[in-house]
Amino acid sequence: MLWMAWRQHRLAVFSVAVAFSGAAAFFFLLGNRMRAALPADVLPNCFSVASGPECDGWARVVNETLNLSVLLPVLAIAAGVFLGAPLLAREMEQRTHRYAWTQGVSRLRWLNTKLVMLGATVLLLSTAVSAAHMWWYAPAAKTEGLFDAFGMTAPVFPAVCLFAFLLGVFMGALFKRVLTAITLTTAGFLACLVPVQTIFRTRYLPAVDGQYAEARGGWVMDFLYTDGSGTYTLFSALQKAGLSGSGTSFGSKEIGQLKALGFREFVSYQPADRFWTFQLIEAGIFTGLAAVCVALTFYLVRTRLA
Amino acid sequence: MTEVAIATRELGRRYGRKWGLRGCSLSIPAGRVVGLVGPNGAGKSTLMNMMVGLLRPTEGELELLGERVGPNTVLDRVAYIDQEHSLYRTFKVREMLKAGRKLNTRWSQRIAEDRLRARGIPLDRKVGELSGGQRAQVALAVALATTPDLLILDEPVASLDPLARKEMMAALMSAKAETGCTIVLSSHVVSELERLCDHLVVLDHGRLRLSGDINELLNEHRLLVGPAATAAAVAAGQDVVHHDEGSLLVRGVRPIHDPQWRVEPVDLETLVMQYLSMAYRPVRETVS
Repeated sequence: MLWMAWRQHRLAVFSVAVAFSGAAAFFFLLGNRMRAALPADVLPNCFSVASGPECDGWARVVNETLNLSVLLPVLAIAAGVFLGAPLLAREMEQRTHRYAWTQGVSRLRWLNTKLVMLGATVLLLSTAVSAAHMWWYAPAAKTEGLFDAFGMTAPVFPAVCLFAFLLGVFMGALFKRVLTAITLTTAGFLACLVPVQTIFRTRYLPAVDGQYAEARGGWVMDFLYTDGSGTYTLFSALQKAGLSGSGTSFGSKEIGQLKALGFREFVSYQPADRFWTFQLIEAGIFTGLAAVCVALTFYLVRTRLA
Repeated sequence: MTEVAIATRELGRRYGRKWGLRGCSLSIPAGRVVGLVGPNGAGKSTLMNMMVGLLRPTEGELELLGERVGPNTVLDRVAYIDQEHSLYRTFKVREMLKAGRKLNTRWSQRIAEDRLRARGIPLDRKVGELSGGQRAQVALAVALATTPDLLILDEPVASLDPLARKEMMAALMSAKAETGCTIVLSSHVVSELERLCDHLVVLDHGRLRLSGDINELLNEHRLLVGPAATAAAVAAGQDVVHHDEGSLLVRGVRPIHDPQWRVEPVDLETLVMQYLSMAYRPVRETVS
């Protein structure tokens, strides 16, 4: 059965492995080159927005890499689309399940073996990418905190990839067409990932108010202003103070004026020490979603599909 | 005591509001070659899919070789080939054999290789590059290599050209002679099955019309031919299966006193056609 899983999916496994290994190699080599090029005391500064000339262009590389990291869920989608979606849909489409499920292996064992083998592959590859990303970002852990690399850190990233793979399998079981499964896997994955990243992630625990300096290494979500009677965002504080000048951009000048008028600045943030709690919560969410996909897939294969 | 290869009791499968098969009660002894006939949509594939666990019965019971068939039962002693001879097209023939070996506890590499060699099918060719006839032969070789006690084939020759059809039927006959396993095959063409089968099951519109040993069925049935004017009088004394223009198909003919009527033997094709064209009546089954 293992041989069957390998023989049927080796091309997809190979493609996905190339993509994941490429990403892992990129972060690993970047981490090595930055360590080689920069002294250990300078290196952490280059991950900061306020980096100096001593970083010699590395700060720009860091910035662009972090920006591009937003695209890394594409790797998860690749796992869902190449490994997950065809697993059942292609068998249905080419009617080969009529061969596979009438042999001496029960279809539940057949499915189980494939899910375990391919799921383990996805976990292994995504953990490698996470590890390489964490290695690259490690110098900044103390100074910048880890929240900038939240989505790429294990266990969140492997859990996201596993979910994408199993969502693909479930979509394949549900729609029995590879193309439909691929489309809906991509759409469904984004429909889960985007709200989690933009809405839920900020609210796993209630944010803490404090001075900017206290929020160091944590995740600052809002700069807020208070005049004693209420709390305002920068924009509404400026309006309250009658300072709405250009209307589109504000700088330290306006903030200085606000402070002169008696406004105090504070930040709403998630403290640095919550990072791993947040990792576990988000990894738990995606693992839970993945488990739902597995359960529904087994249900469909056992009772509905023929 | 002979083993019962297939036993069904009030077996039925519904698709939405329409029944694909209903009230099917059968008992077929082991060692037979069973022809399952009926027009398209008669319920042949439905019955076969339920036998191999690809479809869940809506009601009734189904036993193969004494074992109840459920949705997740492993049928080690049963082999199945579907209408398209579904195999992995990107696999080489050799890999298809390996798949069979990996997926089955009973496997004889020799049986598969001997059959393929005898038909000149190279093991290094991809399944997708084979002709339809060759692919059917590979599917059969892979099925027979699991040394089944029951081989189920859904329209095994429907997609083949006449030559490949002949070769497939010959291969099935040799398989029968070599292994003695029970074979069930379906077709909507009676003549295809006539030489191979010794047991007949007729399905129509999801209902079992006839089931029995072919020789017994032919012995029991007679065609009465005579003038239409006296047909009603003649029919009154007979067990009439079907009343056609100028002829009556009867079961267990009784003496006729009208000299204008002749008693003729019936051939298999006529028998099936008459059963298919009659209005539905409760199942008749001969004791085998």
